[in-house]
Amino acid sequence: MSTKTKSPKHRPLTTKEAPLKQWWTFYVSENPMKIEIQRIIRRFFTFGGGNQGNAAVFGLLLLIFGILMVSIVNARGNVSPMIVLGLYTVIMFLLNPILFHSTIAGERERRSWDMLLVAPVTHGQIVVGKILAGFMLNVGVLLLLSLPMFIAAITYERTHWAGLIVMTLACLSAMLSCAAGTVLLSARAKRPLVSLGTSLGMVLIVYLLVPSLTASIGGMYGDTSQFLFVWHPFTLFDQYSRIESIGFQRFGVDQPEAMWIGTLLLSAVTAIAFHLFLALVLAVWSIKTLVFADNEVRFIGRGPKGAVSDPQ
Amino acid sequence: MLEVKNLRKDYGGFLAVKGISFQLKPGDVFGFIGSNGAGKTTTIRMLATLLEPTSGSATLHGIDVIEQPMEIRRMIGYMPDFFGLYDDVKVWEYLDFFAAIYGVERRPQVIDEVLELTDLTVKKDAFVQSLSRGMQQRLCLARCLVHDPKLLLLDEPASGLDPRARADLKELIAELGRMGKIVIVSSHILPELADFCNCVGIIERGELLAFGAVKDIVRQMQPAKKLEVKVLGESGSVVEWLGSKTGIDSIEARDSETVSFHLHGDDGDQQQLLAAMVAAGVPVLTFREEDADLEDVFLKLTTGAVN
Repeated sequence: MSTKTKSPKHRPLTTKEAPLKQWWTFYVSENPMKIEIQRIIRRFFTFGGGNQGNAAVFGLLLLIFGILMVSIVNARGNVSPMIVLGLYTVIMFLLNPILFHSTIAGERERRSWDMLLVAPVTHGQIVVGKILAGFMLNVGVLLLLSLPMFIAAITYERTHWAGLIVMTLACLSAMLSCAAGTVLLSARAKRPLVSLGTSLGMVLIVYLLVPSLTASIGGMYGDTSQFLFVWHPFTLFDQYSRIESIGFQRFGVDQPEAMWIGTLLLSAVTAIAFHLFLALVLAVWSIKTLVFADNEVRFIGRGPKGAVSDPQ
Repeated sequence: MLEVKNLRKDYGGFLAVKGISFQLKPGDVFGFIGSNGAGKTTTIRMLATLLEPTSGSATLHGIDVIEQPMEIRRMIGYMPDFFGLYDDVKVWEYLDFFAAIYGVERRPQVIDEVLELTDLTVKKDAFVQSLSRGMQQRLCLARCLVHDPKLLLLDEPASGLDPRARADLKELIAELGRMGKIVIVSSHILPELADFCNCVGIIERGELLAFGAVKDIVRQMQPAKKLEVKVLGESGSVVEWLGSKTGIDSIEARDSETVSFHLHGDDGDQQQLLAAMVAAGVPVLTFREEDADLEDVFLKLTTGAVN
């Protein structure tokens, strides 16, 4: 048996290419861990065996899809596409921790981690591969829900397409940072259950508890919470609602439409930039977490004193 | 060629491996023997690039394990002592995942080849979790083989296997050796290692106490050859005849026809003894040197102390 392997994917970064392009090539376009995306897809589309959980999630998503389709068709143009996007955001904020809490902690618990570590991929490529896989699932669910969202958008007379698109992109970027956060907590936790608990807790605190409290407090002293939470998808939903309401005075809006569109675009771009940066920070933090070889920590018991970092 | 020179692992004052050295060539199947905590796994993990040695070096076909870990990872297949598999995928999907990570071309064909080699073809579409322990062990080995490694590091590959699965695995490892791969196998089951390893190393408290061919190590430890002769009729006269010869001791009648004894000498002396025995009219039915007993050597060499 002889096996041919492709030319090394870990070619040293050359100075001829732009740094961003080098980064993209190394971590994304030529990252062998992209196969993780395929593994995730197979998990959801291979039925039987140990896949009941994945199949159940897939079934749940199909059910939501069906209910949305029926509701939107029956509503005859009275459902804003924002409702679908909002539902997607809530579902994915909860599903991300549930689906990806064990990406690294599970590998450790299952003792399959060593087999990845001896493969010719860097920790960075492993982490980016896992985040990408998580993100692609988010994209997949969005694609699934894009049909009801599209039907709602074309039948709803007050749809603002540009606003809807930037809001969708902002939601996706929020999902990317959410996936990165889940992977980070998975990298730091010893057990998947701990990772699940902390991930869910983090999502609830960051996206629900803190904004609610701040909004309540802000309401008492003049509302500044929208400025603080410009990155929050629900802030964007609120701003988009104002665009939809122009002419209907639902919010007592008397500013021109262009101002609201400008505000939404600015908020969306800020949110996208914020979430991309956050995802990057979380990914780097995850990689740093993995620098210490797990075995050394396990061997010594009390942290890596005197232990040498991973040879890569 | 695998060259390990003075490899050492120090965990902040705790010396797990104390500078071991050995060389292996393609086709060598090396049995790594030692008690729990002797340093086998640490050594194997250093060679697998999972741990960085404190000092010393290891090169595989001239490539340094410490300096070029990524290149080394393409050349090694590592099977840990305890491992888990992705149980929510099918067998071929599991192998495809790792084949992709290793950048293997013609993945479907390679997967078929390794499945055939590991005798798992019939389980290609089965879910990993449905496999028996022995099959999972073979699947893990198949994963190690998808990229056609030059060096295989198998840490306790036979642990927890039933006798049939163990025999199959033994045959598979021997076959890998015949394919020209360097195979390092750590195990506690010494008689099995003696069967298919052409060289062994005995490690205790991080020190390599002995290294070489099984027979050579046994010879070093047991200078006398352990022989057994079976005669037609009663063995009493043979015991008496052997007792009159020089260089022979530990004569023991095992049963009415069989006698075992130690001969202090080489192959020539052994041949001369047989000739003399036949010439003296001893009715020899069988005359054989007993297999090297690795377990005895291991027990003699080691004290059972662990790090």
